[in-house]
Amino acid sequence: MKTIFCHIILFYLLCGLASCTYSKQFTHTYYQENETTLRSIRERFIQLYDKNPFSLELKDKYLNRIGLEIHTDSIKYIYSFRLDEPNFLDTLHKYQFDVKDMIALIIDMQKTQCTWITNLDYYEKWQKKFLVFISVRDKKLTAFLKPEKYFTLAFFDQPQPYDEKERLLDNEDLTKNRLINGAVFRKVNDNVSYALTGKYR
Amino acid sequence: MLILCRYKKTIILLGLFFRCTFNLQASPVTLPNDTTRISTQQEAIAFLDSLQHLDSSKHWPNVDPELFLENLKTFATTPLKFYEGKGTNFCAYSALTYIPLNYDPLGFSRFMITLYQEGKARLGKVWIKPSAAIHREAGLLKYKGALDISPAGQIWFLCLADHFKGYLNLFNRRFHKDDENTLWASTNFAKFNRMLRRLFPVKVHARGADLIRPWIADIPTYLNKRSRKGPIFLYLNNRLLYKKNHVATRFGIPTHFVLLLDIQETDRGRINIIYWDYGKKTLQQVNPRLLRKIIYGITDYSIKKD
Repeated sequence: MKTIFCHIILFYLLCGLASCTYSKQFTHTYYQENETTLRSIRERFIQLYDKNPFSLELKDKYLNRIGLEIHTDSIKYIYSFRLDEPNFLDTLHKYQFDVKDMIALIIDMQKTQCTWITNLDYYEKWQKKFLVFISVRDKKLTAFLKPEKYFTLAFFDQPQPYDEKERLLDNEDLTKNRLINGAVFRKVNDNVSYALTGKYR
Repeated sequence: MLILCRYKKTIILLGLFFRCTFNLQASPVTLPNDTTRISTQQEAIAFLDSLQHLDSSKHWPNVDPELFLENLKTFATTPLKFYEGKGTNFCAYSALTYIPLNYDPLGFSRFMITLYQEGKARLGKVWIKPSAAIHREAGLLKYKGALDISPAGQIWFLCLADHFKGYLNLFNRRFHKDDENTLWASTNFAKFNRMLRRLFPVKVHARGADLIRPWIADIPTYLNKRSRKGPIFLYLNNRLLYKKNHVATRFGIPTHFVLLLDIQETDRGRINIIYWDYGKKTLQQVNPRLLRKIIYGITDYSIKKD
């Protein structure tokens, strides 16, 4: 009787652990598997952004609803479209986006389950710099009894410092961790860092 | 009578809750007059230019005087670029800064210069005397976007958050490192309206509450009518306006203050709202249902003429 009771407890403990842990494998392998596409997303985004600053969101789990933020000098426009809606293309034409490149960017984002891409500005030694911020929404990052997490990637132009635990450091004060959107980021490689966060932006 | 006596404590507690939560019809209706300016941008620039040079202040050891002066000139010339910083809880303080920068840029510049030189200064009915922790922290906020290079903005936000307290600040009243992102800096609706009344010569008319939306039948028409007289402040549920995760929000609470500049109905039944936050004007298209759902507080004001 006692043995059966112990087995039941052990079974529930294992179930609990399995359901409450995110797949560690995901964070290790995702970037390697999708590196080429992610690099292409970043480069295409920078090219489009240089002509027309914007941020892009794939809103729903089917990745068919678009959130488009267009930044001009004086005003930011926030639009929401379905991909098959004619208004979407009309808007791209109106703001003189390269439609072909934009569609290719969206297709790449759908392929890699990217839910959000933007350019974040930051200052180092009073100089303005940018990093490309990408959030990934994947089924493997959801767990029973735990809120959904996002795999967020920060692409820097220059190599960044990391501590011995591979956490991103503040370039101006190497004793401090550098937080992005309130999260500690870890090393993917010298120019790319990642974090698992509760928010995609 | 017996029932009243038995539930006296509950009734008192409920009364206190509603006293804290509701802020309906705060003061008599007065229409804002956007042309009532106390000073002009040119006067502010002339005053700042006349200073030529500012010595570093012992009260603000981490603030560069040249940059501070440069910031004040930028505030006077481009008030809508005033930026609250990424990830901070400074949105309320940033929204209300529209009033001094637009109606009295000279008064605001004088106040900031006094605050810098003497470590304390008076604005409206308030003596701003920041704590030692605030004096030390101003100039050190980092990775907040353009706020990093705006020590004047940092001083202003930190001083306001240090001085004004509401029930949201009850458990975190003293500043500690990184508190700009925590409840220490947050603002509830009553505190926001109180700040307006005490800092500036304005009559404030507020509708709404922290947890319950205002009882207005046709919000777009109401906002349209009010915003024709001048900008109005909105207290919003930002989790619906700017979604940051895919969780369906059942229990909505407002967390963000913006300045509504204009509202227009489109021919397809949607509504364009033009508001100011994060140092920029934003035009966002929403449906009327969402607009109704996100608005918890509406504050308009008029400048007192005396």
